[in-house]
Amino acid sequence: MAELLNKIPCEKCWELTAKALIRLIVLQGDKIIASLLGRGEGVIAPVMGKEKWLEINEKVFGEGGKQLYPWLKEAFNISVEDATGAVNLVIVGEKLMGGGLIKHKLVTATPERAVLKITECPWWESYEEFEVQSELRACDPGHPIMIEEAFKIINPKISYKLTKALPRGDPYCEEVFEFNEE
Amino acid sequence: MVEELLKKIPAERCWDITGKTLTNMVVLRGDKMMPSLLSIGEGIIAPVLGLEKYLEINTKIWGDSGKITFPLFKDMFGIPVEDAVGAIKLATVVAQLLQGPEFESEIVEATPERAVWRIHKCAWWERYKENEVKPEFVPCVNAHQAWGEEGVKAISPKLTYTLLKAMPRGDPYCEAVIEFKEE
Repeated sequence: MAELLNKIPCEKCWELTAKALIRLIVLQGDKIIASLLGRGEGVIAPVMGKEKWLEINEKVFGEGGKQLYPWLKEAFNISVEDATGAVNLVIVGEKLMGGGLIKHKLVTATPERAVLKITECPWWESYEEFEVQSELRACDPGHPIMIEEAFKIINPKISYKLTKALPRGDPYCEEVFEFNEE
Repeated sequence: MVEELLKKIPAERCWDITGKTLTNMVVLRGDKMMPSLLSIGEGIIAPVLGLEKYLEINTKIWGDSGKITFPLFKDMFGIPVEDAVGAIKLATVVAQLLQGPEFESEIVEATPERAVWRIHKCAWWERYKENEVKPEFVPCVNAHQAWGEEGVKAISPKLTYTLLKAMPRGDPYCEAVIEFKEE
C-alpha cells in the first residue's frame, strides 16, 4: 500500500488532509454545539449559552495563534519588523491552516501598512456546506483573535484588523496590518 | 518574498504541519473544551447533555466520516476492494490522508478472508497526550471502531471491522481486524 501512497503527490495529500480535517472541526465543534444549544435550550442556555461558547471558542483560537505563529516565524525564519513582514507571516500561516486552499490577494504592502484579501476559504465553504447558524460560525471573531494574540507576542507594534469578512456578508475577507512606531 | 518562501517549503512538510495543526484543533475544541463545558454548572448541564450523549454524538460523526471517506477515496484513487486485503489497503490510505504523514501503521496479516492492521503512531493519540485530555473524554476508541465499521460497510456488507487493541486502553499499539465473509 505504501506504493499507492507514494504515487499520490504530496500536494494532493496536503489538500485532502486539510479538507477532511476542516470539515471535521466544523462538524464536531460548531454543528454539534449548535445542536446542543438547541436541545433543551431553556435549561442549557442560561448556564452555558451562546456567549459562553463564543467566549471559550475565542480563547481556543487565541491560544492557537500564540502557539502557531511564533513557531512558524522561527521555523521559516520570517522577519516581522514591519507591516510587510507581518502580512508575509500571516500568508504562510493561513496557507498552512487551509491546506493551500485559501486564495489570497495582496493589495498593499508597505512597511507601515499592508492589506490582504481572502477570496476563497475552506473554512467558510465548510460552514456553508453544513449550514451552521451564522451566529455560531466561529471564524469571526476566532480568526482575528488568533492573529491579534500572535502579534502581541511576536511584535506588539503591529496592529491587525479584519475589516471585511465573508461571514458578515462581505464578498471577501480583508485583513489590514499596520506598523506603529509608538 | 513570501511566494518564494512558500514554494521552498516542501509539500510533505506543509502536509505534516497542516495535519498536526488541524488535528490539534479538533482535540482542543472538541475533546478538551467539551469537558470544560460539561463541568460548567455540572449539576444542571450534565443530566441534559452528559458524557454519554457527547460520546454518542462524537461516535456518530466518526461513523459518518468513515461512511463518506472510504467510498470517496476508493473511487478517487481506483483502489479495488474485493476482499479483506483490498479493504485493509483502503483503510490505510484513508487513515493516512485523514492524519498526515506522522501516521504509522503496518499490515501484519493479509488473506482474502482476514487482514490485521497494527497502528504504531496515530496523530489523534499524540494530540490527546499532548493536550492531557482526561481519559474518560478521549473518544477515539469508540470513534475508531465506528469509523472502520461504517467505512467497510459502505464498501461491502460482506466486510466487518473490529478494533481489538487500543493505545488509549494501555495497549502498545492499536490493532484492527477486517474480515470478509462470502455469506
